[in-house]
Parts: sequence; structure tokens; C-alpha cells
Amino acid sequence: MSVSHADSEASWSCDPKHQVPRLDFEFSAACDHKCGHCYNVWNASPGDAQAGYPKGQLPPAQFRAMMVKAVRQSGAQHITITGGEPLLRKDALDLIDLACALVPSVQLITNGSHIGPETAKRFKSAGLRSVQLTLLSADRARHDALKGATCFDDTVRAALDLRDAGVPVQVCFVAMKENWQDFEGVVELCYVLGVRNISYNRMSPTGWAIHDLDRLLPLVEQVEQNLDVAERLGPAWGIRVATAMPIPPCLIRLDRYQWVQFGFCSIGSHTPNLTIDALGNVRSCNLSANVLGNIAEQDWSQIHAQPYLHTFKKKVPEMCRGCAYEQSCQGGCKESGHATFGDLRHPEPFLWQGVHGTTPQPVAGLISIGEPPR
Amino acid sequence: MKRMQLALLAAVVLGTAGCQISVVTGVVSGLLALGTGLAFVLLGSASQTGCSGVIGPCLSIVAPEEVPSDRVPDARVPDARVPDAQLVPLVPPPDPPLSVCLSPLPPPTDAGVPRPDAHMGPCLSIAPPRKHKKVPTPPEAPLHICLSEMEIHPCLRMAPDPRDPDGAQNTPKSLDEAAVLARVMDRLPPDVAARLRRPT
Repeated sequence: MSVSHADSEASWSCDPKHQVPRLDFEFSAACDHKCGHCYNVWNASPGDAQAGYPKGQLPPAQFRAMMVKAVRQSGAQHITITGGEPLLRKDALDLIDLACALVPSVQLITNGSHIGPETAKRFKSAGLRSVQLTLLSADRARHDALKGATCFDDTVRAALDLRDAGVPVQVCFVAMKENWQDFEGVVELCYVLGVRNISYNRMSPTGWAIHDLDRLLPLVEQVEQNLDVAERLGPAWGIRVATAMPIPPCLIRLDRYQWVQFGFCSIGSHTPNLTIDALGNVRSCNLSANVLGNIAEQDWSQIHAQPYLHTFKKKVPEMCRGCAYEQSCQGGCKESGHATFGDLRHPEPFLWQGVHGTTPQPVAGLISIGEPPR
Repeated sequence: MKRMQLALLAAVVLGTAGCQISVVTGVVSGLLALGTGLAFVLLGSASQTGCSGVIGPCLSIVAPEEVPSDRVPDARVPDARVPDAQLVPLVPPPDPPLSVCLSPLPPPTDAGVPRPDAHMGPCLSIAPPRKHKKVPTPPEAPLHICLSEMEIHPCLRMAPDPRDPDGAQNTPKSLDEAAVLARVMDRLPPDVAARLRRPT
């Protein structure tokens, strides 16, 4: 599907002061899987620090206009499409076409249950750069139990459909206390499926997941053993492994791992993954419930100038003050600290557990981080 | 026999190293004992498994009271590897003991990631005696001793096994492609397994 004249010739322009390299679009809050670790902020329970996040969806035409405006005004060159499950939108394939027409690089994050051979070919013709699927185990029953859906077979079929269509596949593994031992099996499965990129994410609780930390939050040594596996198998099989969730270097010596690429929180950096939901609400990342503004109603420069983005890096746990990695690590995932304890400055659950040796319990609503601007 | 020879050699080298205890706290002294014990365990287990090369890349040792009894590795297991061996509190303290120093936290790179040669903290490293530094502040629990190729005392390094210089015999089972295929295919739906068997 081609981009309409009105879209492609939209008069939105980018203010270089507010240019960002990428945007994440959440096509839909709906999902047909029930992952225990789900981080979506709209699933927070009443009383949680992230409670009350608005759910909903702009009508198709307005959503398209919102996408074009956001990309044009932000100057973004990469789009990540996520959700919920983005392919549950009826117009998802058209929107993917639009995204691919707007920017040179588009990635789709999907649960894999809605991709067949024809869809994979459509992705290829649209020019999708890659598709990320989630594999929590190489064992069907365990994967399906953790995903809350019968989906393992769909996911591996999707990986092959995409492979056959020539669309690169990346696999996301979320390490939890329940499945960290399955990581080696997932690496093996990736090797057999021809997947050469793994996004390894230790579970970082936000949304509803903060209520199940005892069961979900992995221990430091469990993550460490997973990284050992990545370091051993990755180079042998040519599988790149990168982490998106920050791993504080005071808990694990990252320099031990020459193969694994480690990522830290991008909020406040030059490459933030600012996230826009299906209503046009803009947030600092997909784990944050703090709405900076609405791109359907406001200009990007106004939203991007929000102080939240610029003061975020100054808020670090007291225990991290003076650390050589204070500004790069920032104590891990501070949005997770806020979701769990109500305070961006509180050590986030993974850091807390690593330091104290006990699983933290969520405490909601202790400290407000400020009201949304609207 | 080789294991005993290696252990004896290590004991001689350690004994003549002239190292001194630099940290006088009881906790650190205990860790010294653990570090030395670890070295012996590694030398022993490595020689038994035909492992070659330098010990590492990094080991962590937990305080004795934190070691679960069920984590003690069985040295008879052929692929008993470092991550398990590191948890064994063994052997009496060395005499003279190894030096221990706290490594300072280095600044990260411009990209915000740790430098490849960074010494992370809180962390203790076993260093050659001449590089010993004063401990500014005892670290908070849990204590770790980290040994890496860069930090480890030269006397603890091992020469390659002449019978297996490339360590080929130590290839983990999971690197055996045929075994991997067998394991994975068995778990896949039949149609997917059939597609994978077809040449692309």
C-alpha cells in the first residue's frame, strides 16, 4: 500500500533541537497472550504507582496522521512497532507499509501468533528490517505456560516463514526465575532455526508484573550463568547477543563478557526510545507510565521539551552516588524502581535484590513523579 | 598423578611467592583462604579434565556461610567447570598468604560502557605481590573475589595441555551440532522439523 499524497507531503517539519533518532509505536494495547512478566503499563493494578494509564486507540485515519506527524516533527529515522500485540489491529499491515515508507528502518515486535507465509512476504515487500519474536523456552509446554497461550508452534513456524521470505528474525528471551535455565535451549533452538540475533532481557518488572516478583525476578547469579552461556555459544555459532534491560556492573562484571553487547537506560541520552501509544500519548520509554504529552494534539517540540526527560538522569539511587557508572548505569531500570516502589530514586528490584539478597515487595504511591502535562 | 604434581607445583610457587596479608579483617582473611582453595581446586579439576589455557575468565567466591552444601561440585564429573568450582570453601589458608587488593572503579568509556580491562567493584582481585595496594574500605557483603586473566597471579596460570593444546576435548556437549539438532528437532512440531530438514 502506498502512502497517500496527504501523508507524504505533510507539512510537518523537524526542529533540529528536538530531533530524535527513533520512535516506538504501540499499535494496540490488546494482546492475545497472557505473559506473567508483561511490562505493559496499562495493565498496572489499582493502587500501583503506574495505575490508571489510559487505554484506547485512535481511529485508523487519525492514527496514520499521528504517525506521520510524529515522524516528521521528530526527524526519527527508525521505528519500532510494538504493543500489546500490534498485529491485532485490522489495519496493522497498512500501518507497517506506512512506517516503512516514512523511515529507512522499521522493526516489528510481535508475539508470532499472527504471521503466516503471506504475511511474511508482505513484510519483505514492505522492507521491514527485522521481526522480533519471543521464545521463553525451547520446550513447548514451558513456553506456552509462561506465555499463557498455546503459541510455541506458531512462533517457530513464524520464524521459518520469515526466514523463507527473507525477513531477518531476532529472538527475545526474557530471563525469569522460572525459565533462566531454559536459555541454553533457546540459543540452541535459535541456531537450528537460523536466527542469529538474540535480545537477552533479564525481567524488569513494571505494569502488573510487580506483584509476582518472588516467582519472576531472576537472581543475579542466574543472569550471570545465562551470560556465560551467551559468551560460550554465541561466538561458536555466530549468534549475536545483546541486552536491552540494564544490568548494573556492580552486580555482574560486564567486562567479562566480550561477546555480549550491554545496553543501559536510554532516557535522557541522545538515543532515547520515546514511545507513542495507540492514542498518541508520548512516554519516555515503553516501561514508563508518565505521559509527556499527546502528539495528536501537541507539537513534538513542546513534548520533547518536557523537563522529565532532562531531569531523569539526575535521579539515581543514593547508593549509586559517586559510582563511576552513575551516569551510564543509573542504577539499572529506574522506571521499574518507580513502578515497584513509587520512586525513581529507589533502587530498582533487580538491583535491590542483588544488594540485599532478598526479593523486594512493591510499595505503591509513596512518591509522585509529577502529573502528566495535560 | 598430574593433578598431584600440579597441586604440588602450585604449593611450592605460592609458598615462595613471599606474599603478605594486606588486609587484616577477618572477612578478607577468610576470602584469602577461599581464593587459595579455589586455585587448588581449579588446578586439580582442570588437570583432571584435560583443560588447557589460562584460568578464567573470571571467578566469584562467596563467603563460606553463603555456600549451599548442595553446590559443592563433584570433581569426578568430567565437565565440572569454573562456575561450580568457585563455590567450594576448601583447604587451609596459604602460608604465606596471597596479597589481596581492592581494585578502584575505573571510569567508563565515552559510550558509557565498562572498559574491557575494568576492575569492577565492590570486588577484590588477587594481584601479584608487587602490585599490592592498600584497601581503602572493606567492601560490603556479599564479598566477591574476581580472578581474570588480567588479574590472576602468574603462578596460578597453567600451561596448555600438550596432549590437547586447543582444548578440543573440552568442547561442551552443547556445541556438538548433531546432538543439538537431535535435541531441538525432537521438540518441534513435525511440519517445522520437516521444513528444517529440507535444504533451503
